[in-house]
Amino acid sequence: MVHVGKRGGAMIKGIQALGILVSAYLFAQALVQYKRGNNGFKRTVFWLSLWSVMAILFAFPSLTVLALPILTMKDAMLSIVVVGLLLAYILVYQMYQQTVRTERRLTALAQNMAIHDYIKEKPNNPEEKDDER
Amino acid sequence: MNDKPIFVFLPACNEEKHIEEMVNQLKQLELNLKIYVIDDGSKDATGDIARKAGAVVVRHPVNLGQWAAMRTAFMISLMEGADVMVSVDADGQHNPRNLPKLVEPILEGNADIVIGSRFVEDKSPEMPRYRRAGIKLFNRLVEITTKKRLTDCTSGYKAYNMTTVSKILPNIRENQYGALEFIVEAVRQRARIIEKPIRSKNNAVSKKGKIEYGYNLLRTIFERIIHQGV
Repeated sequence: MVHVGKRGGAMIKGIQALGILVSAYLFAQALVQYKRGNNGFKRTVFWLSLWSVMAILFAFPSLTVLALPILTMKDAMLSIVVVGLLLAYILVYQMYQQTVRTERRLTALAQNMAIHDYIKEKPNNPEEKDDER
Repeated sequence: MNDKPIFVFLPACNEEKHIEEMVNQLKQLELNLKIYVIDDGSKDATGDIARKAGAVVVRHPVNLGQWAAMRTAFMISLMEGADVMVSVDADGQHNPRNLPKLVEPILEGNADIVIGSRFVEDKSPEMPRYRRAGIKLFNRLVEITTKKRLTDCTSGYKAYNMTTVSKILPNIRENQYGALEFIVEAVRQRARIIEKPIRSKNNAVSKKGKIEYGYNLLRTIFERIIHQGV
């Protein structure tokens, strides 16, 4: 444990406050960029998550202790499991996104087919026949 | 606005038991209606029965879900130049005789979207308790997101001013479960949404009672919140 003293403590609090402010500013910027259409939805979510994590870490620096076993590679097995889980999550998420996109395209295709058939069959529809009479 | 027909759409999937009665009841109304049935990939004779009953049938080649059927209905209404459109559930739970009550505020220019609410007059209408709880949850979520208090945001009985719909529709991201997203976007665009009391019959086989339906509505509203950065 490093003794920081009263002045050092105040300085650390200042750095924390500054870090939170900077993170909040970057968070807001990410939203502004999204509203302006400069960034897509996924990219915005990524940046918002990143700046949120940064703000949380600045607010609660003791949380970094949780990452120590991974960062120091003290427990190789744990590191592999954590990295493996992260990769699996990314993979599953990507697959889910792809499925959603494909589903949306198929829905739009089926709708267009239905409307196309409707236009084609329009003269045979009851109301159109009534009009002809 | 009064001379043009009101476009009535019944999204239907395997509703051969109710569809004929629904179409016939709508035809009995003294209104200039154009009745459409969106046959959402039915495996029974829904489409044929509806056509024989005098409705125009638009058929989805596969089942796409109720909101996809609504989207198709909006697209056709816009294509045909409709001013007012009404959606009615085809499962027999909605009374077609309530239709004039829903359309009136739009024709008079007092509203853009009119929701037929089962909860305005009757605080506990006939329906399973879990479904009632689900509707309350969705109402609350809509209220949190938009500050608009509704009593029956998931109701399938709605009337729409198509000019308003034409502005809202391009901003709807969801293809299959967009009912709530539509309301959220409508409020964002300052559409005038009001509710009118309706009475409905409990329909035990309603697809809206399914957990999957509820989950997907929740998903779309949360996606909307993230998307909008609310």
